[in-house]
Amino acid sequence: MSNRLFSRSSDYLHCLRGMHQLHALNLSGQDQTDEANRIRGQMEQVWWNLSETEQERLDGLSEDLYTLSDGLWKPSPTTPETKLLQEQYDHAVQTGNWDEALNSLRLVAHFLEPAAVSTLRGSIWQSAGDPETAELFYEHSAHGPRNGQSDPAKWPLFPGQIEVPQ
Amino acid sequence: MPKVYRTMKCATDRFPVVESSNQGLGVRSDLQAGIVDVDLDADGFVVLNGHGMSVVPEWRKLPAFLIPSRLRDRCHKARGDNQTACFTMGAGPFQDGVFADQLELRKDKPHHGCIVPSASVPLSQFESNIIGTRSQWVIDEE
Repeated sequence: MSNRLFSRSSDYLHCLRGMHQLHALNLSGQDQTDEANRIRGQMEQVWWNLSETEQERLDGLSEDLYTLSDGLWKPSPTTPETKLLQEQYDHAVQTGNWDEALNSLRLVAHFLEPAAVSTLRGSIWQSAGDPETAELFYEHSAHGPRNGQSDPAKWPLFPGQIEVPQ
Repeated sequence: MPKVYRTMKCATDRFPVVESSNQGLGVRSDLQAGIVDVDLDADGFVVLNGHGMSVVPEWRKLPAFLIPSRLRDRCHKARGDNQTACFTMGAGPFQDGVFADQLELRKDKPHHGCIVPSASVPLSQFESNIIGTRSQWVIDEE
């Protein structure tokens, strides 16, 4: 399953676009409307046709998209597990296991500046062949704070080590 | 009886709203609406093909867009309608078998199944049997 592009099946894309639409409605405060429920109903029609991997990816995307609209970030202190999580993330990126990379990044995201995390997420989605989803994260990254650092190698936690997918 | 979960609108009596929708206690069968949960034969009987009212074994196994977003503090992906609640019914393992009077659970995936009629019956009978379970559903969002 390594270094594979994400699915472009019609059912998967239908749910992916639905998730983008629900995210946009959330940003505009309209995620509790009939329009949002219409989108949810359409997504449910094909959701159970997706593979478990696809379902988990889109559920993870739902969680990750909230980070684009959540408030102030408070850095968490690193723990002994941090190094292991970093290694898992690096290995996933090096082997092109994009789902594992997204999952690993989610586990360490609270250690990192949100804008930095968005850049990494954008890179992963881009590498997995989904520029539309990547753009959502890149856009946040472009406007988010980086404490004056634009070089990923100088972002917190993994200085000079964290892998940015090319 | 297998334990199942389904998000549905909550009525004022704290039981699920009876409704032919993906947010109610019921099934959709109106082809004109373009979305159906059950197939009917030429005589209006429910076809026994595993299709029915969608359920899962744990509410956290629901897709993000069906978990009320007010539950985000305990389920970070939640992106669903806040007018719905996570209802559960039953107590046994999530496996094929009798669910209620004239109703069965049929799994199609490890984390998904459908409540289907035990035998082919008219749609109205199937709906009545589902409605008959209404007082047995309770909210569980822990």
